Parts: sequence; C-alpha cells; structure tokens
Amino acid sequence: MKSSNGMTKEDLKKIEQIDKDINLLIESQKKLDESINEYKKEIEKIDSTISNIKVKKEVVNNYYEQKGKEIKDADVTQVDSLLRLRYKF
Amino acid sequence: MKKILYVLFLLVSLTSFGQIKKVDTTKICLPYSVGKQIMLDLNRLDSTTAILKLTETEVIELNKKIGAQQGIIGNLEDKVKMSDTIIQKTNEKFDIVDKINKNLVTDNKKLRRKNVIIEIVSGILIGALTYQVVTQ
Repeated sequence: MKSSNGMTKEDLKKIEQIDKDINLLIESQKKLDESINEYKKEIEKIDSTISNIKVKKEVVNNYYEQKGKEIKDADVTQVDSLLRLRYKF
Repeated sequence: MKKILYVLFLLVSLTSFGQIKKVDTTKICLPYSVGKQIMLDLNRLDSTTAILKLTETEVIELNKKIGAQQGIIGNLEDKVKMSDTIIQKTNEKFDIVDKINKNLVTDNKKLRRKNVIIEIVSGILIGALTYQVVTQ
C-alpha cells in the first residue's frame, strides 16, 4: 500500500527507525563531546600544575646554584660553620 | 749493677712510651679544600634531591595527563565508530529514498503514457463528435 508520496508503510517505518537511531547516535556523540571537554579541562589543570612544577624547578636550581657559588667563595671559618650547621656538632 | 741499669732502662722505655701523644679518635680533622668539596657535594645532593621530588610530582601529573588523553582518544574512537554507523544508517535511508524515487519516476512515466493515451483518445473522440456535429 503506497501513500501519496509513493512511500510504503514499511519504507516509512524503516526511515523513522533510521532517523531515531541516528538521533540516538547524535545524542551519544554529544555526551562524548561533553566528556571530552571534561577531559580537556582536566588536562588544562594538569598543564598548569606541570608549568608550576617547572617554575619551582627553576627556582630550586637557581637557589642551589647561588648556594654553590657561596660555598666556592667561602673561607675556612665559613666552611667550618656550614659543616657544623649541617651536622649539628 | 747490671740489674740496676736494666731496671733504669725499663723505666726510661716505659716513660718514653707513656709520653706518646694521645690521638683523639672521636674527631677527624679535614683540610679546608676537602671540607669545601664536601659542602659542594652536599649542596649538589640537596639540589638533586629537591629536583627529584619535583620531577616525581611532575611524572605523576604527566601520568594523569596521559590517562586523560587516553580517555579523549577512547571517546574520539567511539565517536568515529558512531559516525560510521550514522553514515551507514544515512546510506540505508538514501537507498530507501532512492528506491522510492525510482518507483515515483516509473509511476510518473506510466502516468504520462496514460495521459498521452487519454489525450489521444479524447482528441479522437472530440474530433469525431465535432465531425458528426459539423456534418449534421
């Protein structure tokens, strides 16, 4: 039995079912996009933490480089006091 | 006399041994350069320890990032699969619509043919009737 647009009931049912399936898939894809965005936000936070760590590393490096220079320039008394301070004797 | 000399010798020897400078074994004296080197080495150790701690934290964060990126990859793979299914479903829909279109084209052709026949028949009929009217 054909309708006025030449479509059988069976065809119409099939097309409706296909449209439903496609819409469900599109909805699922939207959920996946949301999840991807959550992951992206998480990655942004992680990147920020990592760049903070890098800054800290630089600060630590500079601190110990400075300390190394101070030790190189230290005289006997200073080296002695550094050792005493280190080992508490 | 010999015995007295022997005793004296022993006393002198013992006194000499007793006078040997006592060494304090609880303390170590280091040259300045060695002390300085120890402090430099310790400084390097402190620096490396601090950097190691930070690097360990960085590794933990990087592992978290890898986890999140793997999550994204998984989601994108699922999305691609879904897109493939959408394409497949759309093709199925197009096939059905195409089939309907072909049927409509065939129907249209049949209708045209029918119309042409009707036009011809009605033309003949009209012609015949007109001829009959005119001849009467």
